Amino acid sequence: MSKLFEIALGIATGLGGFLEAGSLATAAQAGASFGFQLIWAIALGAACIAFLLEMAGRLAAVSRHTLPDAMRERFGIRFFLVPLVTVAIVSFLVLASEIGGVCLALQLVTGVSFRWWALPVALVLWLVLWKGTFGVVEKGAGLLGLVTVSFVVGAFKLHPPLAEVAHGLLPSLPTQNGSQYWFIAVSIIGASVSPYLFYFYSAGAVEDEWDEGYLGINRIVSGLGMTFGAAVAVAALVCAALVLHPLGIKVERYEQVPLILSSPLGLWGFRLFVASLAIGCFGAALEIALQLAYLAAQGLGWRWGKNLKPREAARFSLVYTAALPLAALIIATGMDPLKLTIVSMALTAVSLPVTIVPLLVLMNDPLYLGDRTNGWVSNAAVLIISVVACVVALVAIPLQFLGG
Amino acid sequence: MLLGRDVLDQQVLDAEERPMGKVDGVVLEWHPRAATRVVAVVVGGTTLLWRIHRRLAAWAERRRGGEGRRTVVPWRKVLHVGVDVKVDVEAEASPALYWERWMRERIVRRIPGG
Amino acid sequence: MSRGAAGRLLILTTFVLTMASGCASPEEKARKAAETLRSWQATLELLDQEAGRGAVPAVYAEELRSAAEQEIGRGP
Repeated sequence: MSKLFEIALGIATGLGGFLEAGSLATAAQAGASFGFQLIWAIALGAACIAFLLEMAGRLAAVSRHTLPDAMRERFGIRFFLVPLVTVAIVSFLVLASEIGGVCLALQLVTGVSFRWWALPVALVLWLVLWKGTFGVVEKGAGLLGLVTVSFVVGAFKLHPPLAEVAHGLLPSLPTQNGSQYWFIAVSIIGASVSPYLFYFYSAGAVEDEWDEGYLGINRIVSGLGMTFGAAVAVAALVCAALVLHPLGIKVERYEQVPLILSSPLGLWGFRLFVASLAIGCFGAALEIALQLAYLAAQGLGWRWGKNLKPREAARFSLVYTAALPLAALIIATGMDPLKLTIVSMALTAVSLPVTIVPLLVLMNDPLYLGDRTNGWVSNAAVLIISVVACVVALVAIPLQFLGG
Repeated sequence: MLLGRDVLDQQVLDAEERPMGKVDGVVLEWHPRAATRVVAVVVGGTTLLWRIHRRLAAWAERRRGGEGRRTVVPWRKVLHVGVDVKVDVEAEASPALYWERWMRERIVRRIPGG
Repeated sequence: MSRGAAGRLLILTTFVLTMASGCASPEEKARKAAETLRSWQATLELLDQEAGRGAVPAVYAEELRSAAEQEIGRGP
């Protein structure tokens, strides 16, 4: 496969895979409640994840270690347990949110409550992982996710005032509802900078046997993939800002959100919305379930691999086999998927310092990166990200009582 | 070679490059008047628990009635220490993959498509 | 800053923020409830508009209406 094709595929799947339950829900809430004001949060989150993906890829290519692998080796089991458990818990909640998103999409179309769809959806997800050659599935889900480009189409059809949209790229202070503003900002960052993304990326890079020759591809794919993906999220925000915000509609239930696409695009808009929600969440759920299995296997030294048959990697396969129904149960109990999504995004933001700081230490260790350790730009970016993440984490918890 | 940095917590691969677990522990032989030697690396069992918290390990050993299924690889069988630790052992035959085998036979094989 | 001091500062900050935030005044609460009500009324109006021109299927329109009922009925 030529490198150009790999780059194109990588960018396309990055683009297609960006919008899932978290980014869609937070973008819709942000647009509805604050117009264009929170576009900067999406941009900041996307920049963060682009840097972090690049680092995870570079770590994998140079050291031939995945992130959990390197973390356990470098920090020892005791310290490693802290990020391991944190990421596992947070990822599990996000997995439940994604399953919830798929179930909601099915409810929107059939009228049958999302609760009933939870276990069937978990079963389908499990079947895909158990029987599928994941490489194909992963690319397939990412490419199908390109349906989310319909938000961009919808946004343009609504004739957004481009100057105001651009203005939204600059951070601004809210004029009212301050606590809700920052809570949504925090959640947007948590939605973009989900740990499962860079853990999954590092596993993929090792499995695809990336070496130093891939560093260029790594940079381009992570940078452009996330930039385009962010553009889709911004488009969703713009749709919500132009359809819901002028009418004073706040997003409190997923059921309100299809209106942001049906308004510009009619019945097709509704269908594309449902498809985007279902596909985006389904793809994300597959990745998170796998990532939980990677965490356990890579941290404990088991055999692992997304393309292995279950009998070739029994413990690895049983981790996602257990995780999927458990996560589905949370949705089956009837917990509101939108609330679960927003809460798990905020919790992700809280947990960021725990995962970013060890990565930063690794990225500056010549033992792992040779002469490819972080330059001052990457260090500054991650340091700023860590500080932002830390401040965000400190503010997010009490804000939960206010804005949530 | 620094034990903590290069050996401990590294991925262990057997002679056929099959993953066997991580180096959970290292066995050292101490002599009062000679250099301390590395005698073996340990994979599995309660070894890891001792590094997390001794109370946890003690409780586990009481319940198990011993140190669990450990694989002790003598140092002379360690072929190479680099990105991973390669050992001259057959993974499938060792206790290191006991749980992998158990889960494969008892659970995975029973599920269609496994 | 020592670990202990940093930890105490963190706890103090969180406590202060929580206290400051948790005490929303009754006016604040009433304002929020009114906002929510208006939001859902506007949602239903938009829905009627969309359903009227066939931009959303009937099944979905029904769902959104019952969601609105649930949320409005929930009250402050």
